[in-house]
Amino acid sequence: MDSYRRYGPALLRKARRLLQNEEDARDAVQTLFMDLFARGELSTDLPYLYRALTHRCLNMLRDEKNRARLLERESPALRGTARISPDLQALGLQTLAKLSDSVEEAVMETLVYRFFDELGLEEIAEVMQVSRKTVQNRLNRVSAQLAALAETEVQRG
Amino acid sequence: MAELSHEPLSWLKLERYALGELAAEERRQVETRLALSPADRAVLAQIRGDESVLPPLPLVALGSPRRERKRIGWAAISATVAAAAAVTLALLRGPVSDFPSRRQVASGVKGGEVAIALYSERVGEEPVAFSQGERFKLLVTCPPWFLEALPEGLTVVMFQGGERFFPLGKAPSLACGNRVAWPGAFTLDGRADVQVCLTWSARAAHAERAEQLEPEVVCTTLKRR
Repeated sequence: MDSYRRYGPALLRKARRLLQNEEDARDAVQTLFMDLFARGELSTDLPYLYRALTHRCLNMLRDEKNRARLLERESPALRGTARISPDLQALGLQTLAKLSDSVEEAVMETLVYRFFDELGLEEIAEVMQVSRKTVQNRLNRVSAQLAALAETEVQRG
Repeated sequence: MAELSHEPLSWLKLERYALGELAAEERRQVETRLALSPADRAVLAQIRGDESVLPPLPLVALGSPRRERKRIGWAAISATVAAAAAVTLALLRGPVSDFPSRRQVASGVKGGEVAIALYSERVGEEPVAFSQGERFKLLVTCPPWFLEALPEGLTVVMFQGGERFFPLGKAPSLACGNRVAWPGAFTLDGRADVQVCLTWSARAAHAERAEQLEPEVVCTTLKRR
């Protein structure tokens, strides 16, 4: 319970940025902790929980039924202002959902840390326990696809 | 993708800074950066000013059995599944032809039970009534193999004022256990009492009342406050 009280608010803010609706964000955080406690994982740290929550949110987005609901409820105001790449401000759920159909999990996770949580490459490498070069490669691999989808989303309005 | 020269303080770093979790050297670096960056200060202010109240956390998986509203023994389930298999095989061919495997699995188990419990974000454990807009989570207790024995899975169906609702749909990834949280939550409104049911009956999509799903159903009723 202590980790829920301590880290829950930070995770709720992260879930809001990513899912862009309050109800699903709250649900994602709540069920994450319920599952963690069910597994007996009472002591955790924030980077670990960031990863767990990222996986959970991406899984929600991959599931077709959840995806439809999330896209319907998407409220871009909850995303906040992008600091690292304002041209990717429009990177929304629709784009992420499309990417998640064709892009591998680790790349999706990297994208979330970079563009939703605004982690630096070193920081992403540390959280994901891979090299900085791997992080850069993952971002490079998806950059063209991402730019094209983001532009479509901007045109969509 | 080129790395940008202007790297902001990440949300993770600022969250850890706000929680007082950074080492002294890293904390100093963050403070230096904050002094120079209004955008980073704005994010920190957002973190510190966020007064959202977390949803309460149901006490799950602490090993303490809780009172469930309705229980059904495995003997009954086994008999029901076997009977359903026989009837269905006689009437249908195709997607449900794997019923024999249900019977095979179900008949080998004794002493288990399926149960549901609700958790209200307003009043917590064991709610007996609901208010307009009150949000609930469903907790399911079932033995680990139960879903394997039911390829069509479990369905949550609610009955209110003669109408049928499926607010949570199916949960294909639900792993049975003790008070496992069903993915998602639901909000209740309306003036009539609500019967919340978990069913593994193939008649779920057509039933007008919970009784029509028996014995492949467990239900609990919430009265309107």
